[in-house]
Amino acid sequence: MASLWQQLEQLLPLVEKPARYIGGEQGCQHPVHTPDSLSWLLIYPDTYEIGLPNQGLQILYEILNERDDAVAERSYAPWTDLEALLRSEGLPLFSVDTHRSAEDFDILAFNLSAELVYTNVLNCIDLAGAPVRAADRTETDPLVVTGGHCAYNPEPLADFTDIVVMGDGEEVVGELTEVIVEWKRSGRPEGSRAEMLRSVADVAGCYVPSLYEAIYDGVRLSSMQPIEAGVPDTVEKRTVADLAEWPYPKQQLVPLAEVVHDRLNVEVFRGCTRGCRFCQAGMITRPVRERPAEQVRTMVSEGIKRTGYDEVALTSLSTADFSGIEKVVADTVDDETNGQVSISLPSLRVDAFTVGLADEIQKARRTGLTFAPEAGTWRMRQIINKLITDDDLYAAVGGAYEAGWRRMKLYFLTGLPSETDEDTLGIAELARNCVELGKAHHKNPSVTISVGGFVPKPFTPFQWFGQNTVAELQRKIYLLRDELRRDHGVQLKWHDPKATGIEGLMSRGDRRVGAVIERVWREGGVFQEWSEFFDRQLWLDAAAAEGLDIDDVVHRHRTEAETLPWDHISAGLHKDFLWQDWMDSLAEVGLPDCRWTPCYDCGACTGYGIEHVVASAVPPAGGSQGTGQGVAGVPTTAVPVTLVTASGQVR
Amino acid sequence: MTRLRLRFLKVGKVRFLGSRDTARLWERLLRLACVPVVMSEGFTPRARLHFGLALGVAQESVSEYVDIDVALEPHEVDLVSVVGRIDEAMPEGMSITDAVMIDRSELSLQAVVTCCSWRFGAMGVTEDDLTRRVADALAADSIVIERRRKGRDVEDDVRPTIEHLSVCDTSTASEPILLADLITKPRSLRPLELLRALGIEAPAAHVCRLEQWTGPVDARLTPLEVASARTSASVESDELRVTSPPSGDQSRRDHPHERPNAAGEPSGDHVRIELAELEIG
Repeated sequence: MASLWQQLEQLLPLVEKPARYIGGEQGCQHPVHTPDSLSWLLIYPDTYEIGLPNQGLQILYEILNERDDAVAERSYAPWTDLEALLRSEGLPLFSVDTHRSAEDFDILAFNLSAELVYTNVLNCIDLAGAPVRAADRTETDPLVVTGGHCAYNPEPLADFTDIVVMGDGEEVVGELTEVIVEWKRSGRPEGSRAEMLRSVADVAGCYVPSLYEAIYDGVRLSSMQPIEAGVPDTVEKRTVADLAEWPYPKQQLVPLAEVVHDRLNVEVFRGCTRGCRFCQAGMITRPVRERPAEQVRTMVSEGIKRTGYDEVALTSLSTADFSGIEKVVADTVDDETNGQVSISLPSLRVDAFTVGLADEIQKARRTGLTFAPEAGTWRMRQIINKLITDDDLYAAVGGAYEAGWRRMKLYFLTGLPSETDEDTLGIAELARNCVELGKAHHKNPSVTISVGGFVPKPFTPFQWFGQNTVAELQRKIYLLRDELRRDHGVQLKWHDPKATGIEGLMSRGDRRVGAVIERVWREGGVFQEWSEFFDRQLWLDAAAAEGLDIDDVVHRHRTEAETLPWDHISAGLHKDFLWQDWMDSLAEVGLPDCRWTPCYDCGACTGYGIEHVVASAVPPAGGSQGTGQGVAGVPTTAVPVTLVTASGQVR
Repeated sequence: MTRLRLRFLKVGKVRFLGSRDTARLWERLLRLACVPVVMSEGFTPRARLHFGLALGVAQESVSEYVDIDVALEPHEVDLVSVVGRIDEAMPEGMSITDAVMIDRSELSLQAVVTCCSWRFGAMGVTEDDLTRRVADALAADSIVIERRRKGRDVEDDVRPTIEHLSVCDTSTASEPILLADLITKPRSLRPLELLRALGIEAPAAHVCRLEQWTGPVDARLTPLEVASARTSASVESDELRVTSPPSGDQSRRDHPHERPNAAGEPSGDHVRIELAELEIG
């Protein structure tokens, strides 16, 4: 099919930021579509600037294009101005690689990184010319596939989705391609779509919502039942055992237009077992799988030479925990062939941020520094199992000021289980003390406090917790604002609690939330992630019209016995482990990091016969101070740790 | 330190890249090409690059210029190699077409450019209509348009900024082509403002900058010519007109807007280089 570029070229002069739509990134591909290959359109359902850097999408883009039986292109949600023009001109959604119509792809695959983009998913399916409801799609329509962290509760989008991929996508996209391409080559005879989807359900990690029925007991969900024999009762997530085998993206896309996180990104490990109880990412991506340090160095230096970037981010859920992080950072900044390169380490834990690390990072250029204590008091941090003491934070902050940083950002959550106003005000206290520490080094030190309302997520110990109401979150934020009114060194920012409330609906709602999402979309509610478009009333009205009780879904504490909408999905974690951790939480009992201490059998390793892959059997220097975990004396023989040698060999 | 002045084109899909993104792209291109650019002092050092008059988003150009301060002595600069490396790293639709070393005392591009030549297509008008509007405009003593400046609506007579206006012979093209030379000092007339002045509302018109000029109208020179004429250190420009797409890459050449002369210049010497004839050195 011909490219739509000629038609688009007439429209782009009329829209904001047209460079979003031109493609042409360094590393972009122009795959040749054939009748025998399965064509994937990988869609990030938000703007190009937000979506382009997404590493998951870029990894799958490369892996699919390396296959003989698949081609992959990319698309992003068009901004409202272009969408209006596309609709008035009768043009479809398109890929940015070859500007091919979305109608010409076999698969529309969405990355779900945030709940509020769900209406954009429907909008993109519609713009691709397909019926939004899976049941209305036929053999000639594309298949809608989703994946990503939000897909761990697939139910709100279940009615619109054909296939949900759980967990790491590297291996499963190939297996999925093989099943579907066979169907494509067979000519997709009428009535064969359901049969093909039945085969997909046999691919590990693939959930086919249409093969499961939601059974309700009055107002509550009572179970999710396979509709025919042989369909698995539980869909298990996929886990890549060794990151060293997947050095992707090999050709990270370098956009022409400015995007967020516009830098080289190298994933240094996947998974995190610090065990923070609010953190879904840390629960669903277990176990820890480190990339060998030598491979990290190679990916950094080759990446810099290839892209021309002068900044590299070493990404993971907690980069300071990477074995030998100081040496990797030092090697990167000291390697003259890398030129003047600055390093950013997102997601820094304060108890693993050492003065040595601070010194290494700021050799090149001082990047922003962000710490995430998450809660204002030690009591609260025991409840969430983020076991860093006030002194840990002050040591890290003091070290950073001493190393030359003048300002830093601190992330906090509010609305956590059993939180009192004392806990909320503890945030102000911490911030104030950080500014005081800075005064020893600088005239006008400043700390930015970023506060988000807590949304309980599936597959975490807090999945049973009733989220704070919008009014309660707003009250706590204003309490904090009033408390900090006179502190000029502290800037307070917060996430709109109204949006937090709606995120909660999709985070833990069941299949009935789908009708609400569809109604909001039909009423024009797109780009709900964007404050200029977010409209809470639209959601409340839609929920009322569909008879959905938001309070029951979002704000009610759930019981141990009740069925959770994602009980037929497994992230490896035993449900009784999560419940015990929830009980421990309320008892203010901590849980150590199993990468350095004996296994407590959460299920993520044992269930799948995999292990942690870490290069060091002990925590990083300075790590875990103040946790009271006594990690130093733990015998390593009992720890399920695979040691990676310097050469990258697993032994 | 050596200052280089490069001429490049920006056509096709990259025409939708704004000037800020283009500047960022240049910084990255120079790092990719291992060109040691002089960095500014200060907290966030930036590469010392100086562009001429910003090109509007969605407009093409076959004559963009950039001055680059390189941390090398003139005798250390292998201009052919530098140009080749940058060109290699450029995205589709961008290419360097000429380069010289210039004296550091040379005035900036912002300061020297006095006039730009433009070509307009896809305006949604017939040739007769366009011809009539052009004749009317040229015959008028003044053409007043309303535009916004510093947050206020002001009325300006833009007739003095229109140096040249003509309609191309369109026997080979389906739509008429308008050629215009617009004065940039003291205040420039933007291409789409010219169309408005002619009573043509065509926000999606195809606009291409053909050349930027320095000096008085009757003795005008390109920014490269003016620098070459004065700079003893300048390299023979013949050596440098070497950068063009590899012969196997037809995509760049096939773009109709890359052959400005093919559209019919009023006087053939406006554009010095026919890109299709460039060879790799």
